[in-house]
Amino acid sequence: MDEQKALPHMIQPHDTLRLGLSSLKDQASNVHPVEAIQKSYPKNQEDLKLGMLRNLYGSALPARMQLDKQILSKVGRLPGMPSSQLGLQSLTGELDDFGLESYIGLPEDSESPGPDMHSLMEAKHKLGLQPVTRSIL
Amino acid sequence: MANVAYQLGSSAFAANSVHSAPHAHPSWSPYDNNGGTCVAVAGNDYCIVASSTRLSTGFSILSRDVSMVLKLSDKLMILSPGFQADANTLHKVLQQRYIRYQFDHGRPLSVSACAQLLGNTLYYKRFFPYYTFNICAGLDEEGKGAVYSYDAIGSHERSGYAVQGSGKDLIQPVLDNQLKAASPLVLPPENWMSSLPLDQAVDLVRDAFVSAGERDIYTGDAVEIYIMTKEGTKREVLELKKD
Amino acid sequence: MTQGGFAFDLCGRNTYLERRGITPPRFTKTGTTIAGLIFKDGVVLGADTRSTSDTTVADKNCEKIHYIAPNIYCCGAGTAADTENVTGMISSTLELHRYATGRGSRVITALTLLKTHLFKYQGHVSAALVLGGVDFNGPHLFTVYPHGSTDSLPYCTMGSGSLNAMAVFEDGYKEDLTKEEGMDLVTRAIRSGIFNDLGSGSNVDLCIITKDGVEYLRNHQRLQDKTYERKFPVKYTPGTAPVVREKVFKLGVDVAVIEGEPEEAMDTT
Repeated sequence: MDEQKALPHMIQPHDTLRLGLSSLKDQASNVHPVEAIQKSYPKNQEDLKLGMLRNLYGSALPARMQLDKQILSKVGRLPGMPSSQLGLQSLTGELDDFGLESYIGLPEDSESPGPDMHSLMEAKHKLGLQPVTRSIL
Repeated sequence: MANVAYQLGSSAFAANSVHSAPHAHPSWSPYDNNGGTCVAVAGNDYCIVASSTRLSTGFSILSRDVSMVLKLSDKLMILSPGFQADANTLHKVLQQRYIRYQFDHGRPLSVSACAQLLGNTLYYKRFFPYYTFNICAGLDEEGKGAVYSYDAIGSHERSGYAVQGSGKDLIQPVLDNQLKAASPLVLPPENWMSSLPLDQAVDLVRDAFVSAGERDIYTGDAVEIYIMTKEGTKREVLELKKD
Repeated sequence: MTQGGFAFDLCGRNTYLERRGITPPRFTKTGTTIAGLIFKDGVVLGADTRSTSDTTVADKNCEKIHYIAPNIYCCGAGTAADTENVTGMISSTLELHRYATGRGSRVITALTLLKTHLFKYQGHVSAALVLGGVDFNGPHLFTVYPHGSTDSLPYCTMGSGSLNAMAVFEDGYKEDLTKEEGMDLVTRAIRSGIFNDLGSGSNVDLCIITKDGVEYLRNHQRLQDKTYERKFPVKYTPGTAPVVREKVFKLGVDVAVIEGEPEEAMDTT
């Protein structure tokens, strides 16, 4: 990931009351290499798979798969409440997968409370910033 | 004059290795640590000296039967764990100084004099040290056990017992507990000398090595134990684990 | 939103502390000898039982042959936590896979799962493995390196004592060994690691996998006991740790339930 090497652009005003004081130095500091891998891996794998299918069968099939995925990912409870997203998991095959992310660092075991539902709803309706969970530091 | 030049040359050499000068090989170090543990215990009428015989580097065993002990006389020994090449050189120098002392003074070197000599020899190379952590042990003029322990550059102190080398962290607290080292801060001052009878002290030293051999990878194969009394010096070897 | 995986909450703080010269704690590494070979009707895996933390022995009799499936086992070298967690995770994956398919696991499946996981983490998960098992295609033996590369070999070794063990294999291996010959050769290979590599030590564990089942021989050879027992063991007499204060609470013997409102609030201090 190249983004963390440079100073981040400020695309939105910083919500100091919700997120605490911000410093560009904090945001520019290097993330752990494994954190970068963990963040980018699912997206990369997805892109790789769709790219492969595009090359093999043309763009229609991947487009249709993306449609299916987008429809199924809309199914679920309001933000802030747990959604199993069974349909989506079944479509992607995630249902049969068992990896680290299935039992390590689950959101329900988190030490810090998640963002409040009000902010999440605001974010859903594009009224505010995407809220973040503040870690214990 | 020649010595001074050598000394300057060596310290520049040492500095190079640390700051990796452009022409020097960057990762090469003149030093190694060959592991091994040494213990000395002084009693009222004895002195026990023990050292493991394994010579290692990294995760490899170089030899299973190498002595770290310089036996200068029946009443005087020097133990040098650390870097074996430096220990050998140091022993060579000290052996030579020991013989010359006898020629010059017509009497053997006492433990206290030897302790000071070793201190001076180490401090002479303050800026390119002998990478050894010595113990000087023996019987003093009154026949009492005497143990001096050193850092690499010659700071030393007389004590009732001493541990040096790779098993130090494991053995030191056991001896502290068993030999009841009086703190120098305790008032009125207590006698620092070990109060154990000889057979119990030897038993303790043996057990210390066997136990250190269980947990320290550099202590093993065998331990040679010298027991110095007014009757003379006895050497015994206790086998340790070979893994 | 938030999903599972490793936590990195305080990594920023830790890199800051490291810059300030504070060293992070060391992990337990299994400086190890592990080995395996294919014999006439199966696979023999072997391991020593020492785990080290820097130059001290952390565990004198640890288990390095991990269960993957009823017909597959895996020896682990490297960071102890990584080998244990990676093999544990793969064994769970395979268990679920067996429930889903109703068929026995294949060694190549375990291998693919292991190497994709390790490759994903680019060597940060430092597990060096010897994977062996028997499935309907016959016996298989693989080595897996921390970055995710793999080899398929008739005999292989891993860990800090791998060169010692490989020397024994290169000397003694031939095709179609009997079970006893195979067990003996692996035992000798591990033993050469135990005695000549400081990262390896203590006992020899063996695991023999054939199409008929698994023999897990924990501490197949116990090599050396302590060479000396104390003649004057330390005995601490009662009272060595003095009793500074004593307080005795008497518990009520008869307990009765009385109905009605409590007369006063219970003292919970």
